[in-house]
This record gives sequence, structure tokens and C-alpha cells, in this order.
Amino acid sequence: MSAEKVVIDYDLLDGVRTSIRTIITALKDAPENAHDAAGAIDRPFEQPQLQALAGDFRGEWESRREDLITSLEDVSGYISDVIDSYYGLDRWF
Amino acid sequence: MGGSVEGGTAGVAVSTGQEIRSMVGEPDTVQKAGHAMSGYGRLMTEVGQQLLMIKDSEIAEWRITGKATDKLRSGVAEAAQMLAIASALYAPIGQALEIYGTKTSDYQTELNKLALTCQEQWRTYQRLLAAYKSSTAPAPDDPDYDQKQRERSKAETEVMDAYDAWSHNATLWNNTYVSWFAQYTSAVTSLSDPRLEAIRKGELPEVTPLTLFPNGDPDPTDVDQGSVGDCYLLSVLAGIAKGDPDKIKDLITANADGTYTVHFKDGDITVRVDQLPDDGQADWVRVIEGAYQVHEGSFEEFDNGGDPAAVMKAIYGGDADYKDNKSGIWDWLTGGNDIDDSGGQIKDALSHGRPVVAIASDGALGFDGGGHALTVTRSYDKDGVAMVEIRNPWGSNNGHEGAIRNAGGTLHDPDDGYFTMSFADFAKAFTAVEIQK
Repeated sequence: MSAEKVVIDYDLLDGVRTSIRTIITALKDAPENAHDAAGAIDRPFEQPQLQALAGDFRGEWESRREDLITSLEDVSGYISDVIDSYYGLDRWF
Repeated sequence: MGGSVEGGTAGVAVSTGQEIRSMVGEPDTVQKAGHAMSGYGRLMTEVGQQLLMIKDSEIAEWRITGKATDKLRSGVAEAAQMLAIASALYAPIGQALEIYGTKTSDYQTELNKLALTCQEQWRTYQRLLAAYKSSTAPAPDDPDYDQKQRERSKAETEVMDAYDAWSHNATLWNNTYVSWFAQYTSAVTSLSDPRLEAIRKGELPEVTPLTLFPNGDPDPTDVDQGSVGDCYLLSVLAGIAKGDPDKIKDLITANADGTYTVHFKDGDITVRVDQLPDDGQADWVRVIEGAYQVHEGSFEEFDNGGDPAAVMKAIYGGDADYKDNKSGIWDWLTGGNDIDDSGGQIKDALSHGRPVVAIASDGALGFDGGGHALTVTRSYDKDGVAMVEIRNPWGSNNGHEGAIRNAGGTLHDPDDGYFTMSFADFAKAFTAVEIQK
């Protein structure tokens, strides 16, 4: 593998890191947002199903939400390390 | 119009047995929440794919940043898999909530307006009825019998008129409730989809390849508009399917990962199968609908009507020719820009496989307000008379048969959405025509 075979550039990595941060925020806010959406759905004409389904849309996946946040935070950190090491060295040259 | 109508104050809708009342909830907030979820779902897919790309690709100056890159590569696969699962949950639920919120917003406005009217009319009816019941019929030997009997008959008529007035709006409320409830049920069905339960347990659904072209080639009959307000898109697609089916085929690329890319002139848009509307149309139509929804930015925008010329521009680039049936300075400057003058251009466009869309609005052919866009599928001569064939993207002309016949149209029997009319009648019946150059 050589440095000449460039496929991924650092702007793309930076963009991925920004997107990951957006997703982490969305995942962290998921319970509150689901609660708000369920509240906004309300129980029109005493119909309860949609409110319940929206409020608990994560269901069994809820336990994996924290895992995903942790995993994304790790990846975001690794990307930062790659970018920082690149630009750190770049300043030397 | 403000105020909330409580149950028991505005009567009961006869068909559904529902007490007429205001509808609770904040559908605009639901729409926004659904739109945000749907967007996060798309972002999760995109980032997951980018992470897999990072894992399998080489990174600039990787030799220098070797250790950091190794760590990154080792961590992305698991995150990408988890993102794919999260996306498979967020995207369809977000889309279902966005559609429910968008549609319910209109229903709520209508239901609440009608509930207030019904309440007022119900109170009037109750008041008149009570007054009538509390009065006694005049005795036959009463010296003022005739006068009193006339007054009693008048009071009885007022009671019946008040009931009829209430009943009319109660029926409208009932019908709107039924339409809303169908939307509610659809959203509940979407959020109860058994596939979501499997996804929550960490299983990614198998992506079954679509049958893009069930009839071999794209065909106008593949287009069958349901409850979504996208006639502006479907009328153009039916026209292209009729005149240049290969153009539709070239527009869509089926990707190896199960996604589909639509090549609009202003940029490619890739969609997953779970982003597509579940509206029973041919899969190629659903793919383009899904991509155009992304193109428009939200389901609300997509569903809110649009201009066929904008669709033509997205597919072909450049502006379409617009012809209307109004005289004006532009007609004077150009020597004619009316539908009457467009026969040659319509024939030329159709003979070269380019779409032509006819718009009926402001009551034309019974289409109120912004109206409806239909496809001109053929231009021909019959016994020396210039004729056109038109197709309604509904796949029927339900509710407009009389208006079309009155305008000189001849419908197929049974009605399949097609009708023909002389070009002269066509120019009078439609409000505008948009022709792909």
C-alpha cells in the first residue's frame, strides 16, 4: 500500500466526523424526541395506538442505542486522530 | 376560526357513530419530527457506507498516519453495521410519521372547522326543536286555529331545515373523519410492521430486488396515482413511458447494494427500498417518486403539488414550453402562445417521444384550485379533425366523467383514465399545456 494510491482524502474524513457528531446528538436526543412526537400525535378521537408506537419506536433496540453512541464516539475519535496526525505532520513539512 | 368543540355538543355523525368534535394533536410537529427522523435515517445510511469505504480503501498519507489509521479501520465495521440497523429503523418510521403529520394537518383543519359549524347548527336545531316540543298543537275549536297551526307548521319546517343544515356538515365531517382514519390506520400499520421488530433485535432485513418494469418496458398504465399529490410528476412519467420508455430505463440505475440511483439533470439521487412509497404502482414509478421526494426536500413539499415543467427540467434539463388559454402581451409579442396555437408543437413533441402535460385548474373539467395534471398521450387526425388522447394519472376519471363528456370528451368503457377529444375542445377545456422541448 503506498501513499500514491489515494482514495480517501481528509476533507471526506472531516465530513464523516461532522456527520457522526450529528448522528450522536440525534441518538442521545432520541428518547426526548420520541416523547415529544408521541405527545404531538396525542390520542385523536381516543385512538391510542400511534402515540404508543411512536413513543416506544426504539423498543428492544433501545439497549443497542447506547452501544452505537459509544461505537460512533470511538470512530469519531479515531478519525480525529488520523486527521490530527496528518495535519500535525503536515506542519513539520 | 378558533375554539375547541367538545364531544356531545355538536351531534353524532350517523355513519361512524363518532361524536362530532375537534381533533386533538399537533400534526405539524409530528411532520417535523418525522422529517427529522427520516433525514437522520438517510444520514446514517450515508455515513455507514462511507465508513465501509474507509475500511476498504486507502487513505492519503496512510504511511505517515499508520497507527491511527489501523485503529480507525478496526473500529468502523461494527459501527457501520449498527448504523445500518439504526437507519433501517429511523428511515421508515420517520417517513410514516412525516406522511401522517402532513396529511393530518389538512384533515385537522377541515375537521375542526366543520366541528365548529356543526356545533353552531346543532345548538340551533336543539333550540328550535325544544321550542317546538314545548308548544302545544292548537285545539280544532280554537278561534285562532288557522293562524296557530300555520305558526306551528312554520316552526316544524324551521326545525327540519336546521336539522338538514346540520346533517349536511355532519356528513362532511364524517367523510373527512373516515379519510383521516384511513391515514391514521396506515401510519399504525407502518409502525407495527413485523420487519421492524426483527430490526430492533439487530437483524437487517433482506433486500429483495425490485421488479422495476413489470410489463417488460415502462408503460403509462404503470402509473396509478393514489392519495399523494404528485400528479405533476406522474403525468410527466406516464408521458415519457409512452413515448420514450428507454429514457425511463436510462434514468434509473440498480446498485449492487440494493439501492437505486435516479439520474436527474441537477444531480443523482440514491434511494433505499424502505424510502419508497408503498402505493402499489410499478417499482420504477416508486423509485422515481422516492428520489423526487428527496429532490424536493420533504414529503410535505412533494405532496403539495408542483409544476410538471420543473419535473421535465429535472429529467431533461432546460425549460418546457408553456401554453395557456389566456390572451396577453406575451401572445402579442410571440405571435401566439395559446393552447390553440400549440397543435403542431404537441404533435412534434409526441412524435419524438417527448412528454406533453395538460393542466386543468380553477374548475376546468371539475378540477378545482390548483387543479390536476394529465398526460397527452397521442395526437392524431380522425375524419379530418385534429384529435388528442389524454390519460389521467389516476388510471380513472372518477368523479369527472360528466365534466369531461360535457367538454366534448369521449371516455373509454370501462373507464381506464383515457379519453379523447377534438383538439379544438381540448384547447377550450384545459387551462394550460406544458410541452417538453
